[in-house]
Amino acid sequence: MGSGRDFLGPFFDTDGTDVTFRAAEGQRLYREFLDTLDVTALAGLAVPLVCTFGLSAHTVATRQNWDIHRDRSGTVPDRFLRGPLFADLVRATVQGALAFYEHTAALGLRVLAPLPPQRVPGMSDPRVFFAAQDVIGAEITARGVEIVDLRARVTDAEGLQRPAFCLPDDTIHGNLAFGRLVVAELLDRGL
Amino acid sequence: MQHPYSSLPARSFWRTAVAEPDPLDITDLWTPKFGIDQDAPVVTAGSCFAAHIGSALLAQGMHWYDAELPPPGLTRAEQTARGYRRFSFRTGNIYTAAALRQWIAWALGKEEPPQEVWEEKAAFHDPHRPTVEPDGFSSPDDVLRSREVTLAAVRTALTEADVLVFTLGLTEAWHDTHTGTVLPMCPGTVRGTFDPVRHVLHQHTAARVHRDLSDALALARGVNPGLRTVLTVSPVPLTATATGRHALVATTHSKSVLRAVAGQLADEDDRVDYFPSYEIITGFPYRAAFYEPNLRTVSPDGVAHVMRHFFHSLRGRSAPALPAPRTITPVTGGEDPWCDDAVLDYYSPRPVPPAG
Repeated sequence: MGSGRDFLGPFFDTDGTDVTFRAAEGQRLYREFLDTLDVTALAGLAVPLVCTFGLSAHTVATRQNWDIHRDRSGTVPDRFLRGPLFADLVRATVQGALAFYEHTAALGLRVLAPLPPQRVPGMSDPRVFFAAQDVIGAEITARGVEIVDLRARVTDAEGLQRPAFCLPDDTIHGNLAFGRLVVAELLDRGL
Repeated sequence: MQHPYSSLPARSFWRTAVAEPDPLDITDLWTPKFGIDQDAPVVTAGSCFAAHIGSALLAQGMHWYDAELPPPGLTRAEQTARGYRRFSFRTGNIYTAAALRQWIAWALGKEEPPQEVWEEKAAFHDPHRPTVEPDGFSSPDDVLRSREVTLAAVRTALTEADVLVFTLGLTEAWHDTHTGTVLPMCPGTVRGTFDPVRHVLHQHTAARVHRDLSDALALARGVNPGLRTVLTVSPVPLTATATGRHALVATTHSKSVLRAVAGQLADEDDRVDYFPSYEIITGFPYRAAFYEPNLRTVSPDGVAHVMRHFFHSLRGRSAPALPAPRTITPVTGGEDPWCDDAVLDYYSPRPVPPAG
């Protein structure tokens, strides 16, 4: 429906039962999905929703966003990454996505969210990526979302996505093999 | 003096290839005839050992093609118990080459499957996959409709696949003389009623196995000329033999026939390869270390060992040890609950427990 960064800040409006995506293309696709499932609004969804809104942690971890918090060695300190200000900043950055999950929780939908590929492009800070991912994961879990966590199966000793699950010539995305594992995990969960 | 052995590599000699290395360091047991691209659809079928291959392929980033996905709402354990996601289609275990040929012939409309359905306690079962619906189907029509879904999945899988991986398991097969079909297991052991007139044991010869496999692959290539095949032999011994031979001797006979035929086919056909699962588990260097205490069930470490050789050879390079596959809690002591023939152990004599 859009790239990950499109679903961090406010991206939808709601009238209590349904949502309207602010981007015309997103709204068109959303209505198309609902029509395919023969329901008129998100509230009528009878099948689980698989959604990755808010989970583009590499965008949140964009280096320039955190320059002000670096120490003299250029590192964002662990103490800061574990502290309440960092969590507040991350929550503010992904507020649109969190609002969406609050809405789905209110509707009683079953929502599953696969963690993103564990890839950190050069524009992003790896330590911030992992810390932000933890914050976002905890926030959406608190809103009733089931995290689909494949890290034990797709990462190396450094916690980064193994080449077998990376899209080549690309610094962010997973490949078909990663997608196949996500589908397998969703099947494991009865989808 | 020069002779053919003078220039052979270390892997060609028992001492340097087998006796001297640490067993876990033995390499080059398989030289793949052809590569398998990461996204090339691979279809798996065969005896219970084959059920490990699909998940291992996925875990390594390859494309295990599952043509018959489970209906929504089933847990992983329920999916497995009902025969989903173990092989690329819901045939249940296919132990013999004859049964593989039969499934393919049915799927491609070359032969008509029998319409007989077994009824037990108001539930209905498919004689040709008696364990895929543990509680049975609710009507005979449901049995046959469900089988049609599976036959369509077999058809799709063979049409779409780049590679078929088939694990040969047995040469002993029960035939139904009434329908002219080969059965997956002896009637009366899990489902059905044994009729000594109708149900007859056949010990498939090497010639028969070769013919069935050749016919099966020819049929499959009729819908997919580019299909390549990797044959392997299950290292899981026979749970029981009805030949009258000792179980150890019967196992050796059966596995030897399967191993010989798989090797012969691989030698005869550029599109067929043999992967040595059997040797990697049963070979001398491993001293049965990859079996559970029952000397039958291959341990998760053993499965990981086999798959490590598979992927290392396929990639043509060394790679770190693979994690052992996720284990399934056995439902009976020491047996693989998903090996249909493991149920035969139920009929074996057991020691009488000592009195109080």
